[in-house]
This record gives sequence, C-alpha cells and structure tokens, in this order.
Amino acid sequence: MYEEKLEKELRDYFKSETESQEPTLAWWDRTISNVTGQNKRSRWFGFVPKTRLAWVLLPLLLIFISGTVYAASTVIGEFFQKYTGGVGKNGLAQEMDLSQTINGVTVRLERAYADSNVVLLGLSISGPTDYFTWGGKLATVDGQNISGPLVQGFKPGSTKVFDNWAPSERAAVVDTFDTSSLTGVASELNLNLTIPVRDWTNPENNTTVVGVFTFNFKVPVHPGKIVDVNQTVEAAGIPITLQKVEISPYQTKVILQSADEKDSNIIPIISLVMPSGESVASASDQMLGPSSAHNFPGDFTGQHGEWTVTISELVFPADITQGTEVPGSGGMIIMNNGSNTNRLSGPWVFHFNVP
Amino acid sequence: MAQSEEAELIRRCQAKDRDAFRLLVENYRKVMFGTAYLMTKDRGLAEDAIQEALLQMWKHLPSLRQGVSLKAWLVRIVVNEVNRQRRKKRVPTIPLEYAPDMADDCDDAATTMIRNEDHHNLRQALELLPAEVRETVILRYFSDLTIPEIAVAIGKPEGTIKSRLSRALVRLNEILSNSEALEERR
Repeated sequence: MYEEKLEKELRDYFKSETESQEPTLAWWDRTISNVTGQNKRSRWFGFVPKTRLAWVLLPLLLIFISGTVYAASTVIGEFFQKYTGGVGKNGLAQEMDLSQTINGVTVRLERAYADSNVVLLGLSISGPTDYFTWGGKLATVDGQNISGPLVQGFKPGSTKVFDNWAPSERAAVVDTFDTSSLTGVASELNLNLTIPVRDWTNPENNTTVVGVFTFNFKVPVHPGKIVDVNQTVEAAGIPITLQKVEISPYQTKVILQSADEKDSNIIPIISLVMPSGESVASASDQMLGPSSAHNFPGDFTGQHGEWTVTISELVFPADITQGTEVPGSGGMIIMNNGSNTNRLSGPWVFHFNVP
Repeated sequence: MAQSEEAELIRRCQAKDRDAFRLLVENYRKVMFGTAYLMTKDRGLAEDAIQEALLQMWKHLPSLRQGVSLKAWLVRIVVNEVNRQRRKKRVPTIPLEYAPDMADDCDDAATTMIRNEDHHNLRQALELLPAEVRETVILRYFSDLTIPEIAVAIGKPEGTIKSRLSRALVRLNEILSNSEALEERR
C-alpha cells in the first residue's frame, strides 16, 4: 500500500522539481538551431526598418535599449551585494569601467576585488549569441597564472533572471580566481585578463577563436589573516592534518592534508564553529592532490577566540573513470557502478585560537 | 503524438528535415531536460548535457532502428551525455538561481518555500540512495520509462532494474518513516 503512495509522491516531487527549472522556448529554439546548423548568421543583420513609421520610431527604440543596457549594468553591483559576503556588504570591490568590443560582442569589466584567497571580477557581456565568451585566463603581469575561474552567473542566452532584468542575449557573471598559489603578493595586484571570443554559429566547430578580449588593470589586495594550525587528528584509522586557515572578508578557507595521496579524492563533510557559536558548513571543496581546500563564504574576520573545525564523515566518491562505450553509438558511455555510498564516520575535531 | 505521426517525423529527421527535428524535440523536451536536471541538480550542467544530447540525436537519428522506443533512445542519450560530462574536467559553474536568497518576487518565493518544505524529507531520502539506484528511480518515476526501457537506457539486465526499484522503495519508505517519527518526537 505504501508503494502506491510513495510512487505518487515521487512523481509529484520530480515534476515540481523540474517544472521551475525548464529552459525557455527561446533557449530550445536557439539550441535546436545551433544543433541543426541553421544559426549561421547574426540575427542583427536582419534588423532594418521597412516602413517610414518604423524609421521614426527607431530613435525611441534605441533610447529604450540603451536604458535597458544601463539597468543591466547594475546587475553586477547586485551580484556583489548578494553573493560575495563581506566584499559586497562593505563595498570593498573596486569599481572599474573597462570595456572592449569584438565582432559586436562587448565585455565590460565592472568590478574587481582581491585578497590573499581570491580575485573576484564582475563582468557583463552583451551582443549576439553567435559568439560565445566564457571563462578566461587571469595572470599577474609578471607571468604568474592564477587558477580559475569559477563562474557564478548566467551564460549568454540564459533567461532565468534576465527575462525580468535585461534582454536574454546578455550575461552577467562574477568570476572567482584562486590566488593562494601566488607568491610575493604586495598591497596591489597588477593583472592581465584574457577572454577568448569563440564562433558559436557552427556547433561542430565551436572552438574557433575569432578574437581575444584583453584587460590590464590593478586591484588593491585586502589584507586577510592566515592562522597556521598544523594539528593532526586520527579517527577511523585515518589521520587528517588541519594545516592552516585563511580568513578574508570574502571567505574562510580551511586547508587539510591527508597522510596518503590515495585519500585525496575523499570528500570530507566539514563544518566550522566560530567563537560566537555560529556554525557554517563548507560551500565548496577543492581537491589539490594530497591536500584539499574547503571554502566557507562569509566575512568572519571579526571572530576572535577559539574556532572549531569538525569533519563528521568522509565520503568516497563514485568511480567515474570507468565506463563502457556502446559499440556504434558515437561515443556514448554506459557508466559502471560507483561507490559514492561509502561513508566513513569520524569525527575529526580540531580546536585552535584566532587572535 | 500518435505513433504513426512520430514514425513520420523520425523518417523526415532521418532525411535531415530540421522542422521535423524541432517538432520531435518539442514533444520530448520536458522529459529530456527533466531527466538531465534531476541527475545533475544543476540547471547549467543540464543545459550543457541537453545541447550535446541534441547534437548526438541529430547525428544518430538516421541510424535509429525501426521498432526501438524513441523516448527510451532519447533518454539513453541524455543519461549517457550527463555521465560523459561528469567525467570531463570542466570549469565549475554555480548557477546563481540556487543561491538561497534569490527570488524574483515574493509570491514565487513563498510558493517555492512551501513546496520545498513539502518535499524536504523526500529530497533528503533520495540523496541517501546510491547514485545508480537514484538514477533508476528518476528514469522510472520521472522519465516514465518501462522496466525494459530502463534496462536498455542504462545497459543493465531487467532483473537488476526490478531489484533496484524494489530496494529503492523499501529504503525510501524506511527513511521517510524514520524522519516522520523523529519529527513527531520533537
């Protein structure tokens, strides 16, 4: 009897989960056009007023469009306010106004922030979706590459929010780069950002780079705090070392070290308790070989006293390196069983003092 | 869509008729996207998988054998594409629509919160299932594939699919009963 009820609940749950996420019809239309090779030329070329009235209305339309573009440029400010913890709330990001246009695509670098953990860049992208700009490379002018980016925001063509805020062919993103490997960081970073523009009109040949946006700019580095902990705790037969904790207005990063390199794919379920009693769970994890970094977004620079890091369990991820190709399927893979249900309970608990 | 109508569309797609492809995708877009989304829990990843899956479909429709369930074939491509993308190292993307305080208007936010509360326990229970079992549950109760179709879609014997589904329902029921009992005690 319970089966029928449960089956109905599952159907209802899956339906409600997916309904709100469905891409728009415009997205499907554009994607199908790309796939079938119909989207060969920019739709902007087709926009020519055909009547005298349309020519009269054209200036009004341009005023409307420019107003919308102005409104959209504040989206980056909104992103920083909402999603960058103390950086946005305390107005720590530097306002920039650098923009470049290639083949009708304009990328504007609007805001930048740097500390010992991260560089955050707020970019807006406008123009036809026949060209695709995404990601990019960041380096210091003296040639040190900065790893990333982790991209938060909306891809060109995504309409989830821009249905309300801006035309669908705009994108606004906050790129996060990891500066922890940089050496000799002074009070200011002198940076070089390059973003390739790819031809998106032919999906089979979508890696053709038709140009590269290049931005050179300087960003002040906000001082953070690094606490060297170097404590080792053993539980369930596995020793784990808490190496250090890096605290900045954007996030707190906890660096762990496992004794054995083969343990480096194991994901710890980790939480942080502040002197105020506030408890936060890690929002993202980076596996860096035998060490791993766990990020806790938010500004905890004002938390002085005893901090506690707790690893409640270790999760062994599925083995996704093994798969069986279906003969004649054009590269389709059937996955073998994973093992992501293997969990090992701890806890591993670390206490340390933050001055 | 009637079977004969679908067969005609497939025939036209095999002759590279774009309009027919558009109509065919229109008919299955919800099940294709939903399957990808439920497997990835990430709209951006699901969109990426669907783009690639559509490309595979456009390429391989000419070789689709007669009598094969089109829906099962499409879902299989989506499942394979999601799994293939999982294997690729890619730029990590966090869609902002998942940020907790993201809401375009209050009514929507309130509705979402109520809906989320209703399904909270079920969502958590599903997360506790092994990935391959959860995938089978999605294919059965969202994609609405039959057991033989799921077997084809994920390349496992029908007996394995039956046993996974049966174990999944028992396990989900156990977890949900426990969480209800826990809530009553609070």
